[in-house]
Amino acid sequence: MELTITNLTRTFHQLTAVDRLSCTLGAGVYGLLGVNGAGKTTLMRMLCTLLPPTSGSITWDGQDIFALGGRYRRLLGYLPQEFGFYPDFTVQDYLLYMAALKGLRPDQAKARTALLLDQVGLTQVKGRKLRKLSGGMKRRAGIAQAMLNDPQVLVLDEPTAGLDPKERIRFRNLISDLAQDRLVLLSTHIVSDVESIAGEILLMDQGRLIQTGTVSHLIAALPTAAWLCQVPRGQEEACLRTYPVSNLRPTAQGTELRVLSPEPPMPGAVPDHLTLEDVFLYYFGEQEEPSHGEV
Amino acid sequence: MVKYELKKIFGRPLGRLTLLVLAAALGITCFFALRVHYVNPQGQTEYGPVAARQLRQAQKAWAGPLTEDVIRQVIQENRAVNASPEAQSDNVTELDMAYSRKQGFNPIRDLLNSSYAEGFRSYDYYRADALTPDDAPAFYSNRVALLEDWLSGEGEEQYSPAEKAYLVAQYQSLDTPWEMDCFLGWQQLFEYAPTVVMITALVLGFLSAGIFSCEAQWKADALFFSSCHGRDKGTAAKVKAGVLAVTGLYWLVFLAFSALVLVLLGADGWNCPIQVDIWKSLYNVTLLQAWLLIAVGGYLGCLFLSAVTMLVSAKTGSGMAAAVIPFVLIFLPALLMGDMRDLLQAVLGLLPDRLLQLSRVLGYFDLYQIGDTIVPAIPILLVLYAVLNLLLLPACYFVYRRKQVK
Repeated sequence: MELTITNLTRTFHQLTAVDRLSCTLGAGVYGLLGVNGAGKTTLMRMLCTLLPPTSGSITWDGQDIFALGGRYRRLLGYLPQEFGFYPDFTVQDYLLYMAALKGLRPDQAKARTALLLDQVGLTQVKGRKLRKLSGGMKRRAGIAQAMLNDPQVLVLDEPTAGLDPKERIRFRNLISDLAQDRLVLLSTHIVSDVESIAGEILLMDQGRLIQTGTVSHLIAALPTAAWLCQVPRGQEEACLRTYPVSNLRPTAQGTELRVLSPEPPMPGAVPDHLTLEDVFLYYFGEQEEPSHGEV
Repeated sequence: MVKYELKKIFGRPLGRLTLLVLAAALGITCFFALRVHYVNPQGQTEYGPVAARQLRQAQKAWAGPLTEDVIRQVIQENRAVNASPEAQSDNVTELDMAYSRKQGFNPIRDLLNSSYAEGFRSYDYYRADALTPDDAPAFYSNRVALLEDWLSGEGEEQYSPAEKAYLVAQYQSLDTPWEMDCFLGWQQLFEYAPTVVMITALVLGFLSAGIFSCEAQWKADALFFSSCHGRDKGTAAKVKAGVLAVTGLYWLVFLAFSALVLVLLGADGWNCPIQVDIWKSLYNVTLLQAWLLIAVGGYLGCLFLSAVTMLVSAKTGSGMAAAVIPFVLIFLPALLMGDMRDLLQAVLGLLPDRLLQLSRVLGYFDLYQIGDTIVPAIPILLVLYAVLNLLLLPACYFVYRRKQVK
């Protein structure tokens, strides 16, 4: 079970969305982190054979996935960022239809649908039309369809976008349960979504992988430290201009800032533990604010 | 998978609304098709099923081979009615009473107006009133003679010698005497069939427009194409669903319309030549055969328009752009005017709108020369569009299965 990406490039007119990207993925959960526009969705679409690369290759156990075609897609489960559905289908009809598209026999399809409806907690609403489901329920129907064929490769593109905190926790746990013995690639710009479940993190920026490794490896490799500093109210701006600030909290004494800096940024600064969010802030801080406070 | 594709087409509110519109349009068309009138002996006009029954009864009296004797009898009867005090009166009711007596042989009287007309393209409603029984023997020969006169005069430039010879041969080869019967049901059917077929074609085009584009519209294309069979069986299911929807809906509508009209107005006269209804027709077919041609032509036309719509929808991903196609293909020929129309005359005769109104094409002299053979438009239309459909449907499949999701 090995997905090998070699010098993968995809351009759209003048824009290079994915730029000579190479990596090898085996069984496990991979968190693909990057700001919007980093090229995550384009990479995932190529991995799902929705889009051919401009150059480079993607192989599954040594064979080109585009040449494998249906044989590769039979192993694939995909939940796109913009999860479209057929509004007038019931949840059950939708899953049975997707099962047919995935090549499951009718008896298999019925059994898998019943199992997954139960697993994602949608059995009670299986006869309800998709357009009448809440956002969280739709996402769960989405993950159920991705799992119908018991895929070896599971690609999840921003699976928690738009979900409330409770739904996101539930969804994250669900992915964690489903991730056994398969390759799961989970793309997000919400750091906390991957921090707890991803075995390896891929940091993507401007179409390239800029860092890869486990959370602890990425934190250890970060050439900076985190500091908690107290500043009088009204003087936060100077600090914000000088350092990457991962948190800002009003206190009785003024404002507590969480600052990334190799050295103590000011007298009285207290060292704090680095997190994956700090890694994100360090690499992408000037491009986009990380998702502070998200569960 | 086909079942789910059909569900996508007919399950959405817009699909159901479209079917309701179709049902309403058909209801209105049927109302007009069935609204025949009969003038009773008291000179009062009646409408509806009772009127149809009485008119049919009156015309059945003249059923049988349309021989010289029958023609003579019609001329005599017509003269007798015209000479009656009611027909001479200035009173409208009395005139209607006289007309009431003509209704039984009115279809034959109408043929007399055409046969004894001054020219091939002229029509005088009162021409039959000027005939005497001695004119009867010329009834069939007049048809050929008028055509020959026209082809050597006004129509001289319009046809090649081979085409002229073909037309005359077609007229001469029509068996006489014609079988005559009350063909009211067929007449109404042929009159309103183009309306029914066009409405159905537009509705089917509208429904077909969403078959491929709905995936992108609902943002479901990424999942569709990333599935094992999205690019083969899934795409094929869409094409099959399109063909099934067109086939099912078209035949349901056309057969229901035909059955309704023929049951209520009568299916008598099925073995009469089409010329009893369309005097000038060059096609030597019976009314039943003409109905079959109209039905098959309409089906091929609807399938073609839907196939083009599906192809545009598959290629562009835009249901809106695709839905416009049937309107353009049906109404564009009518908008071409003047010199351009003359220039494109040959092509216009083979455009898909013709298939939708084959009952009118039965009366046209559109001829084409293929090698040394002259072929009228209808056989060409049927073969041409059957072949085009066979090419277009696989094209939809091959275009869509290569679609990229950007």
